[in-house]
Amino acid sequence: MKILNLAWRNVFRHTRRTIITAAAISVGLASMIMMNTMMNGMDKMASRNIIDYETSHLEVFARGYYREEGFFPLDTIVEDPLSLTEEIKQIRGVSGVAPRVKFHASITNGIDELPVLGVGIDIEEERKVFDTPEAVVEGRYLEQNGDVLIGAGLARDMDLEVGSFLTMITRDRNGTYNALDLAVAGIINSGHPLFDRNAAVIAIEEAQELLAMEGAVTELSIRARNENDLAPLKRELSAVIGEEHELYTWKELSASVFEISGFKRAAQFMIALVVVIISAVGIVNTMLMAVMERIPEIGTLKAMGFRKSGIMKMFLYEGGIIGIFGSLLGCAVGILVSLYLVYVGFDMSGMFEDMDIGYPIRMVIKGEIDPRMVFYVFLFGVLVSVAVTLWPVRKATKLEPVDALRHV
Amino acid sequence: MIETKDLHKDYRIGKVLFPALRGINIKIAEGEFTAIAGPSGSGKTTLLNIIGCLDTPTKGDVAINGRLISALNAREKADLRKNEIGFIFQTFNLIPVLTAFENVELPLLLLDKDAGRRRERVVSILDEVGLGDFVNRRPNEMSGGQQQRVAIARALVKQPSMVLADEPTANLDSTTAREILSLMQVLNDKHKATFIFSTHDQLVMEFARRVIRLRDGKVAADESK
Amino acid sequence: MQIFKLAYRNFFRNTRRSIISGISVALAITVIIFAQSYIKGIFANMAENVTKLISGHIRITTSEYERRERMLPLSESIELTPEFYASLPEDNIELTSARIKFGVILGEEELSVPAIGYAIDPETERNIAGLHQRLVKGSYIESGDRAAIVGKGLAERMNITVGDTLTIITRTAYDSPAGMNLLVNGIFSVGIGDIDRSIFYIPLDIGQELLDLEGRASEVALLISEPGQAVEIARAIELGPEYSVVPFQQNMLLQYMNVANTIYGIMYLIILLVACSAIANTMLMIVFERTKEIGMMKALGMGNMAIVGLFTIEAGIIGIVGSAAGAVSGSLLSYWLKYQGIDMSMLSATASADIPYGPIIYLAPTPLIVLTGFLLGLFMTIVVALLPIRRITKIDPAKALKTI
Repeated sequence: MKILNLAWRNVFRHTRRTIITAAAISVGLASMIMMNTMMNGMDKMASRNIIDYETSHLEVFARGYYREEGFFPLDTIVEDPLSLTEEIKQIRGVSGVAPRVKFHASITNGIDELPVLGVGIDIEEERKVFDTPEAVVEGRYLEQNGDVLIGAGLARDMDLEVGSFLTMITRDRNGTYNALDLAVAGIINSGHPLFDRNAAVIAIEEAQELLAMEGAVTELSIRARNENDLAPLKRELSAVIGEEHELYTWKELSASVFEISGFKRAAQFMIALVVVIISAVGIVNTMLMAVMERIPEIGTLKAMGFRKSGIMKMFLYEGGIIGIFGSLLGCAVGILVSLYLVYVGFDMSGMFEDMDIGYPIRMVIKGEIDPRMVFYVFLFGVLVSVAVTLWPVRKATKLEPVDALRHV
Repeated sequence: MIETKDLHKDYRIGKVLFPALRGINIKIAEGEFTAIAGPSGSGKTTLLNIIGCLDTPTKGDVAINGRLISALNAREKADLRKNEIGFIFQTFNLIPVLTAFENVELPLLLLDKDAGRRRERVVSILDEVGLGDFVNRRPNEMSGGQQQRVAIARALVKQPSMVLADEPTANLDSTTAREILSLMQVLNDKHKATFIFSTHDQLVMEFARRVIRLRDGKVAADESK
Repeated sequence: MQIFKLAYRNFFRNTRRSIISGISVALAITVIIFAQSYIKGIFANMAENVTKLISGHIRITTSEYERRERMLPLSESIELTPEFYASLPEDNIELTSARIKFGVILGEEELSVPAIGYAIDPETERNIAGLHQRLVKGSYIESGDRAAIVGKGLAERMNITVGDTLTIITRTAYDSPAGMNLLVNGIFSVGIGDIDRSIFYIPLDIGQELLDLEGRASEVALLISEPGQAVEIARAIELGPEYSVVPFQQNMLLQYMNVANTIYGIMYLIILLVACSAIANTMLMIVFERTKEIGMMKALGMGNMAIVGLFTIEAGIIGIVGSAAGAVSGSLLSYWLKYQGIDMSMLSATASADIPYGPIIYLAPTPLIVLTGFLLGLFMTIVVALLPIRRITKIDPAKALKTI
């Protein structure tokens, strides 16, 4: 305890030096926290978009349907969705089941033709599982056959507005071309690029007829009551759906999205790590100065019978105290910037415009603070500070007491 | 009882070998108040450092209360210094961030876990050296004489069997030096610890009961009063 | 001169401390040189991918086509008349390649996959897209062949391989349905996910026949001898307002890269500041330690400026040593990775055609990057060191000499 006290006072022998060193560490740590907040925010946004518009929590397909993202074969479909839906609804953890038919189609306004993602939805069940109705920013939600909802980007590109007419062209499951005349009922702006740029949403009955599906659907989307732990629900569902179907969680269905985010995290972490390493060199420098200027003092302590370990402890405490200050400062700055990101957000729209950045998010990204990460960053800062102190301190304790005393 | 046996110490500075001690054989009994005198470069400090286990001889050995220091490893030497030896330095060597009280308490930290007992000891020894009112001063708030009194208190607080003082008065004016020396003499009488000084100061030799004179690393004279 | 000598010796008074302060600068400069070379490399990589696979150095379309590009409106095509070719400047332009880009839905029966077709002149494109070198299977296409080369990912989706028939159904420039059976001649992979997954190539003449575009093309890509002058050359092409002439530098990518560069610039500055804090600390210590010496110098009649100069030169030596070490290690790393390359195929497999990077990024260090890194390190060192050094002017010689 006394050694800690001594270390504490030694740290404040050179307040300015301590401040500079601690501030240097804090920059790296703050950027770690900031980047983490940013990435968490992006991931959370992406997750919400995927859950609320694309897949919900779990999806059931016919076995062999799911091969890769963005691929919608019509040769492997859920032939009898009604009875399966009933069975799934019996499970307590399920709060809603909505059938969907996803298919490739083109839409044309008479001049231009554009490939789109056709989505047939059950007008009523959709509400219990997806946020599609809430994403309608102009016009209204689907009400009847002949209605179509289109993404805002699609509307802009094709000069469509509420009330415009368009023709949807696709090939049914037998390969025959079919066309369907539709009127734009509403325009969707969900924040999910897949929907906002590419989707044309129609009633599921119409989609089934257009594609000659005879009551079949491509998938059943299941909303869970508890979205944080899907594993037990998945087990329960697996038992119900039978051999001819397959089941995936939303995370499994969007693995590539989170793979990209993993790479980005790694890259940003590396940058922050470099800053921390450079600041760690600063700590080494500071501690080395502390050791050098106090060599006679080390000699005195040795003459009193202090062992290497005691002296080492004192310097390690000093490194640790500087580390704690730096880490506290870093975490404070990191949290402040993060709070800004959480409440105001970071506007990326100027940066990317229409570009497909391969990530389903809206252009204003809001951060999400992970308190655990803040704690780890703090710990990391302190540990690094103590660890890099070892080297200069070993130098000091190795000195013979007589040499240490003679050193002026 | 300290006994040196044919003590040699060579220093190497660059390529040149400097013999600092060239065969020292002395015996110092318990409770003695001894000065080691001689001009600078005669080997006084080296001899004290070797006796204090801060330095190792090139040849020969020292027996402290019958134990040969050549047989001790670094940790045992540290223990010996911790338990048996108090040091006083020419430049006082107080820890600048600690108060007088804390500086004196420092060696006790290694010996006594009881804070209350430590406090008692520190206060009483600071009283003895006449610094009862200065317990909370930092070294830079005290005069040289006061700092050396703190250093003496620090050396004596653990009740060592010997106190080694390397030129304790060299940085002090003669009045203060006289005060310090008579203080040490009083403490020597009272605590029965062996005191060994190195010095080239005539004043110290007046106070010493035995003076061992060194010249060129050898004992030139050994006179007791 | 004397002052340099003194500063030089002072540097070695505490060699270890000087070196450690230098190391933090060296690390920072290494990182900065690496990062700049990397950015330049990835930019060159994207520019190469864009010019080879997407737009050439300069792309000519009709203005109306450009406006509605997402719809690929074949009705807005360019007529490839001799007058059109004559309006292109003769010098500078190495290759002119007419292309038709068209959307199709591929597949039969229950499997329908939207894809993009490119009708290209196979011989000319050997020197632009160079797809004959990117084939993983089969052979290239020749003019007049009713054949295609298909992206690897697309072939996998369609479950077709060399020798199979690819049925394409699309609409002609006059909006009437049209179809054709093509032989799959080869499978290519360029390592960019979106392109491999959605694109196939057919000979230009076949495309013109299929799409009712005899003597026409949807876009003309130009390859020029001096890519750096693409902007000027594009401006010099006078085709009238109904045409749009766009140099590759105006690709949206570049706008993005500019934003990225600003962000990285701020990052460099932060890294440097952190590194320089070590120097600031060292100089702070040195000034403290040598207060007495400074007092003496003042007492001897040395002016404030001379002493500040002395210390600044000492900091400068640390800066030079650190920056030089950083420049050396940064360029070693960058030049090594210039030849070695960083394999990004894992990432680029998911890359979109809007940001076509990969599959292997070769760093592009230049002497200028190394030199700027070095000078930046030196400059920042001196600037940061000046903060503690300023205190020298406040030292009172009489007091300084009294301190121990």
